[in-house]
Amino acid sequence: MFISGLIFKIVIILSLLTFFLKDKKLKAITLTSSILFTAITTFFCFNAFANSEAVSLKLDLLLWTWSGDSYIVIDKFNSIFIILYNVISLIGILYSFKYIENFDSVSTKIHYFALLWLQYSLFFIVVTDNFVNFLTAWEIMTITSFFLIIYDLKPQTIKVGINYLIQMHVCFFLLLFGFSLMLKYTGSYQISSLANADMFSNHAYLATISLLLLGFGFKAGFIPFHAWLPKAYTTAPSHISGIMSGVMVKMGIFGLLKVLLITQSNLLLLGSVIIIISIITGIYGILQATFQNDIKKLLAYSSIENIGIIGIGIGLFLIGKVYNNVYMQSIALTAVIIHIITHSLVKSFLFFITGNIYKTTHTKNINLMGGLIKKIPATSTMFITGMIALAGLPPLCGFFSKFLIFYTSYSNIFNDNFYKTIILLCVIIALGIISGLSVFAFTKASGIMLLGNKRSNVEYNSKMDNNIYAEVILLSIILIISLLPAVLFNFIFNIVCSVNNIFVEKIYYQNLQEIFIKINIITVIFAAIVTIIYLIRKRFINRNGFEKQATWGCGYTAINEKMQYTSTSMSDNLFDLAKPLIKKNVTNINFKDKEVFPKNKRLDYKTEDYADMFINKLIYFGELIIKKFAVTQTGKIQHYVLYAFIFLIIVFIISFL
Amino acid sequence: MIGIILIIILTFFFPGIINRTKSILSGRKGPVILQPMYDIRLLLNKKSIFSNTSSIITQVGPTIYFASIVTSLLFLPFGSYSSVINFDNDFIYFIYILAFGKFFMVLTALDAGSSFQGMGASREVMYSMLIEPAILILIGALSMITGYTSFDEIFKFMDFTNNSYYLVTIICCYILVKFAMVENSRLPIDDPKTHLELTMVHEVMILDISGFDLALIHFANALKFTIFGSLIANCLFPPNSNILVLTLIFIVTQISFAVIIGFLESFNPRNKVVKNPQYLLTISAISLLAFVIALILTNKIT
Repeated sequence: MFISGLIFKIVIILSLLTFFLKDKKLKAITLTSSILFTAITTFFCFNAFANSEAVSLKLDLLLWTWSGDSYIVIDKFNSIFIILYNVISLIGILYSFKYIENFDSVSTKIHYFALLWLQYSLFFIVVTDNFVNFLTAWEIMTITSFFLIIYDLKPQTIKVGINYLIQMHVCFFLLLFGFSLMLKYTGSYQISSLANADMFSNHAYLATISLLLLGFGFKAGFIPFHAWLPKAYTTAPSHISGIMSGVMVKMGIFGLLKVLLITQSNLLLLGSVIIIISIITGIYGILQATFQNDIKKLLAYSSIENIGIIGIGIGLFLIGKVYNNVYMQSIALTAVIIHIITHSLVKSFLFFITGNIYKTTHTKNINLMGGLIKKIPATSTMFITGMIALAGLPPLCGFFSKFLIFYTSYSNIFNDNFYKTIILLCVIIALGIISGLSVFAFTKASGIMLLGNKRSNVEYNSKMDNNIYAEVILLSIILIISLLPAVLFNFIFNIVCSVNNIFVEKIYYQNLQEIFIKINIITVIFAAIVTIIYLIRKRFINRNGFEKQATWGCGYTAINEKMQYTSTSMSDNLFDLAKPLIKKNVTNINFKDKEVFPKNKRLDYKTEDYADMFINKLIYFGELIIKKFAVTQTGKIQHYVLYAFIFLIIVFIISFL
Repeated sequence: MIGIILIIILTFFFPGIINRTKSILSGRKGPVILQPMYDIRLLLNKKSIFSNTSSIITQVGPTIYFASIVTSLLFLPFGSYSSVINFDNDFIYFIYILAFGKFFMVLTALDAGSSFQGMGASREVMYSMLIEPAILILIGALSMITGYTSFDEIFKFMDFTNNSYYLVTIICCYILVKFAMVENSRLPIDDPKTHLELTMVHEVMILDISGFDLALIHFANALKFTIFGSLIANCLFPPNSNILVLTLIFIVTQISFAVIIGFLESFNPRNKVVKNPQYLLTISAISLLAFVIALILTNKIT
């Protein structure tokens, strides 16, 4: 343990060095400390996987030890999270070397320092059980991610950053309040003491759990607490968006799981509420995504949708726990973990790819792009692959978790409880709608961005297709997982059962394993059919010959790229249905009636988010109230002395009461 | 396997029967039953024309679409004979593999950079999104009645001759017919015979596809019909019957399915495009009705 403590110290000292170095040395030092940290934590994790007991370590390095011991616990469950975010952070750092241009500036140095500390803080969030340590690490995560978001230091970026910081602190205080309640009733600093429901009075227990769930839900981006998420993702550099959506949002889910795994009472209520909120989150998220024209915003809203799917899984787990159904519990939780893993990998992968696209086109507006597949074929192919995985279509890995959630829902639909049947029916319908809409959103995004002709006069440069090693690493991880669903399922399922002390008969999970193997077989058959037909097609086309001509224009020959379908026009079809949920602002129409020769006119469509509008309204009223107090700011010294005097008198009076 | 072979054989006749029915009903003699297949043979031997704008997606898209539909054949049972591959909840894979094919079809449509194809693509994804809950709810109802969750077992244990299942079977057949119509973009959602780009759904997506690829797509569409026809036939199979009876029922069901489609297309007007979502949601509502019946049959609502 001495060596590991030493390595932790070295890693921290290395992270401080980022301030003094530049260019290649900066890259080298960042990469070294990240790799060192990943190596040591992964070593602990493999240790945990090998042992049946959880590994607890005492690290003398931890400074914040006043509130009790400084043990960290690494068990199989949090090892999954540790490995996941370490891999993604590491690849994110690798990717950033290509994305960031200026390695001399102070902001870059701060950026890398924050990036490293984000990675460290995530580890401590996952492993600590003491809530003071937990919140400290949580705060480090918030502040570092704030610095990461405001990298380019434009006024607009800083505004978004501060918005993010404030909303995250609302989340922080909710957590603090919840944990304080816990401390009051149990007298313990350990988060695991939440399991002693009998130490609370009934309402206090529900209040504590709800506060914690609200706090973690804020971080995870459940509706209506999601307003920070699309803004922050859109503004941050692409590798940061990738790390944030792949890792940081999942910390909210981790917190939810941590609390819910040990919650003892009110499970039916909590489960139902979580399922309802998740269904709303999923459908609203993907609906918003369908209408977005900004590719990063689209991906951000799709993150919200995926959080919804994860939430549905968590809710099913709780419902299963209420009815003592071990199969439902274990499979739903497995689905949750698999979804977390696949979504983290796929979403960060897509954000990295989007970074490439942004660097190529210098715009994030889908409507201006087109024809990228001819300019940057490697990036485009990877983008389509990622989109298929994200839409949850087989044979890629996004399908497995959706399949498992469907599996639990359908297998338990013929139970004898009416309430449960209705909930499962809602889950099935919601998942159906979500998958349908995600196919809509992602075909729109990939089709309009990559295919067709260029829709505007933006300049493309094809440099970004050159060194794509970071993306290729991530893609190969995704493909490996896609090819080995049975192994992944077996691994996660065993961990889930050991965490929950669930005993599941072997026949049952062998059945599921066989299903995954059969899915693999179908994938192979499918690939074989595609290959055979493709080869036959090639022969036919070679025999019959082919010719290239202009696109069919219904008799009109002067067809140009302005006549192509755009992102806005593609999603416009759906708008009639989605009207009650989506607000659309149309700006800048000022056609005058008597204009004989009309000049160029511009028409802007923008969809708005109700949560965002609510927060803006809140800020507006807050400003109004604060402005009332501006009267006191007279600038005369005697007035300020008077204020101090009044203050003293008030204190004096209060002390007598 | 016998089911798959029968499906493929019947596919050759299916579009022809629809056309023949429509011609007879409109007072014409109509082409021979195999005419659509002759057209496909003609297309197979034609030169391909690709759009200047098109990329690799156009080269692989139709192939993947066709392959996805062929793969989905593996999940179809044939009465008491099991499907080639079956597992619990295999219908999820069945639906999703079709969606995978559709994903590539939509990308192919957008690949040509046309001013019409995006419109068809947008409509096609939206309609299949809206129809998806209907089939999911329907299978939920079926699995609740039978207590099984794979196509194979659901249809093996679904007993048409049992009095209490009449209603569910009828609704099930109704929804499957509607589902097949929507998935194949037939009336009243879309009329494949009208060639006005602004009102088309499926046909407008394949405007820039020619030769071998077009043949693949036409055949895939015919195959889709027989796939849904075989699902309907599976609902109607009496249990414990021998293979001859099954084959007979299968062929009769498929042919009458084709004739019914011909009838529906002859006497149904086409929906206004804006009315389509409403129509599709109605189908979902009807399948919710099947679910309620299932709840009553299993004594959950008393």
